Amino acid sequence: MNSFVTIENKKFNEKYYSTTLENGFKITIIPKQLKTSYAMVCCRFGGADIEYKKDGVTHYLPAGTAHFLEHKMFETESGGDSFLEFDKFGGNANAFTSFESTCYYFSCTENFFENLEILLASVSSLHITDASVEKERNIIAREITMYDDSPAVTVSRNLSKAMYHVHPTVYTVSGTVETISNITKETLFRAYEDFYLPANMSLCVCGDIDPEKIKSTVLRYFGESGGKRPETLYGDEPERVKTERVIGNAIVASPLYCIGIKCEGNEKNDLAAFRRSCAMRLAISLTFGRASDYFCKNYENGLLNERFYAGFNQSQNASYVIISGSGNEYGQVLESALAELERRKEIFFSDEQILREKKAAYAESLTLFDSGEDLTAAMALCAHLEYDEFDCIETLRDITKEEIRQALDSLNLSNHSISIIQKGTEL
Amino acid sequence: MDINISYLQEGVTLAACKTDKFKSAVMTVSFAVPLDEQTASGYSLLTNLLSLSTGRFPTMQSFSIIKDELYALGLDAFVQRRGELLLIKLEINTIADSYAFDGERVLFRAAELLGDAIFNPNLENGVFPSASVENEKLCLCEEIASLIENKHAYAMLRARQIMCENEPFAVDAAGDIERVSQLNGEDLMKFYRECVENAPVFITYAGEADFEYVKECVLAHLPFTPRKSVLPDSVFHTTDNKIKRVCEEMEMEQSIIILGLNSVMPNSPRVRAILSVFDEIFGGSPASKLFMNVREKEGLCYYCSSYPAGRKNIIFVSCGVEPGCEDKAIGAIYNELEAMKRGEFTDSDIENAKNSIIRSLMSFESSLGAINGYLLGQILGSDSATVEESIELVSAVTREEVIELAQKIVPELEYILGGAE
Repeated sequence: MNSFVTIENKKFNEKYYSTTLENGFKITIIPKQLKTSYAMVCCRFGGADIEYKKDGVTHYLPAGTAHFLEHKMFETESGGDSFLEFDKFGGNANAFTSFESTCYYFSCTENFFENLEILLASVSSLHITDASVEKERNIIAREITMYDDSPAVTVSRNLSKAMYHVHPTVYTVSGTVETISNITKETLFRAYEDFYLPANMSLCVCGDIDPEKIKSTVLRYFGESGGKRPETLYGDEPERVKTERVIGNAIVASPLYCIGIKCEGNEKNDLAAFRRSCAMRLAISLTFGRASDYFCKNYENGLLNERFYAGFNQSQNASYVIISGSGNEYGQVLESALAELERRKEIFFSDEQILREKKAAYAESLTLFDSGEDLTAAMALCAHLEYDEFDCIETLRDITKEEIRQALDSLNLSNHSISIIQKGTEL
Repeated sequence: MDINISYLQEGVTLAACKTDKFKSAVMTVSFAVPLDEQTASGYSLLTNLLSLSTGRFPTMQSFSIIKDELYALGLDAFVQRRGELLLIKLEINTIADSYAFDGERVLFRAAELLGDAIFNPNLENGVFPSASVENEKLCLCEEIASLIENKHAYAMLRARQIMCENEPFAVDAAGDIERVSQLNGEDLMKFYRECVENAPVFITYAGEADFEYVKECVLAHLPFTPRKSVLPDSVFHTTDNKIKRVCEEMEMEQSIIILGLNSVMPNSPRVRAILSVFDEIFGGSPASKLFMNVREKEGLCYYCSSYPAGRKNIIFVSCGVEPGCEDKAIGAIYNELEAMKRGEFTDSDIENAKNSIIRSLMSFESSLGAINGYLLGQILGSDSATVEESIELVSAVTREEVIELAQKIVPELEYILGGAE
């Protein structure tokens, strides 16, 4: 049951091996022959895990708990730091937390298994004291305030808060200085015990490494059978946006804006949902991309500049079209962008335009396979989904005009918010 | 991996790396001119104009469409500072021919487009169209002004400007708003001609193509004529052994500290090797003294790192702290510098540092962008070392050399952004 299966895509000359241990821990190995090897452990526990149900009981965590825990996982039993251990064996290690996951990784050119042991040892046990938690709080507070000083971060955070009522996307992954003040050693141990379960974790390796040896190493750290992941509660999010307009102040060259059009959230993260999001991404880049009528016309008349961006954000139970940029005429951008989407519902794109857009998107997705680091992260995050990066690239190739049209038609243009950062005063 | 270097003409060099590890490919044309505040703005604006359209594709839309058709991940043009050089770069990122839908020679057509952007710009009556020039001036001014939104990058620029006042090293490659505002179509033609006709040019390619095929593309579409090949030398930054303290107030949640240290030793591959070992132990990695002590032990900040400034005898240290803790953090950084001067690091610290640098030197083969950057380094500098030479130099660094370098280091600048004194 535990032997590896090989999944291959001959067209792209890529393959990977995959297995799931009896306890649910997933291992993916991409046998790429690059000078550098990569390994990443992912735990499905992130910024969105604030309210969750375990054995029928609802629990709460302060915003920023997953990220706080990420900071403490590299502390060793003796109070030391795993970074020093990695350094001894030439591993270059780091970690990050997203809304859905926390990921720990290293890259190295030799001593792969020594580094893998350090990584697995770090994430399979938690060693913290009241004092070390207290000290970390200061470090994290500095990280939070560093982002608070970035108007680009603030404008998009404010948009999430304007669009959503209860979905955890209204919180930031790292929490706030206030929410992290409520995180104690006990909070971290509880979160660790509830979420750092073999069935909720995965390892992805990119490198020319023996799969069986990887598996036996993992078994030494994650051999025990372990419980079931609690259910994250996303709240009963109303369909409409919460506020249509939110304005902040900061030191900026000219006002920053972020427009969001709220879409229906996907309950499941399956391939069908991915296909819909691909169709929406293509619809948005056809409408607002660098080759679009809209962008070219409005760049030339000075309404838009290089900072203009349009895309589609999708996370569990929350998805929205995002249009952002800088300039004084954000009201005009809002009006004209919505009008353009309306127009495009009527005058749809030609086959030629769609093929071109798909070619560009295909090329972009192909480059993922050129970066061992990015590929490891993407495949690690796919481990608990029902599709992989091969499906993603195939989906892009065979998505139809009709699907793109449906995506565009599904947009409820009146359900939008705009977040603005106006020019504040310099001291 | 197979590297080929060819001197096509006086001042025109091609370096290509054939590798079968990637599905995309990159080709870059880099013009090198001296970094100078009088001219940086002009080159910066020119670069933006060249990436907008060409004579054959005179509208932004027609140009964007042809790029998409060529699976182009982009034809980017940008300026880059490298020591006292300004590099004007035009770069095409595309997919390898073997991954095209229908067997197209994508590289050949991409090189044609690159050549078009360089040799056949979109001109009206022999100059850049005034409407595009005016629009791009506004965009560039906005871009320059918006640096303030990235507080760390802004603080680094200010520190460089203050520490290297009146030196080319202080010049921002993007240009300055005042000079950009005064440029017109004729001015830009002068900058254009200087680039295309006189400036040393370096072409680099990394991807699956054979050297012969790359050369065919270059000879067909990038027919550069002979030009000067001499580049200016790096300027030694002298010191008067005084610490200058500059505080710039800004409403911020945290203060950013940038320390400017003069490493005094003139630049050479050997000194760079010693400096890299020093930096790795001092503040260049998560195992370094600054990370372990200023962040982990004292909990003063989220980041505290050091960066040797390219080919300049300067090291910057940056750190973000709670307002009011600036002096405590500066003191803590100086304590670590003093510890380096006293040789308070173990032999295994040196070994780990060397290994880490060597691995990172070796790992350039894992990324197309890193290979392309390496190729440029090989043909650009007269004192460039190959990876093998660099590894040898790093391996040979001794404890005494690291201490000797540390002892020469002179703090010159304490720059604080945000905190009120």
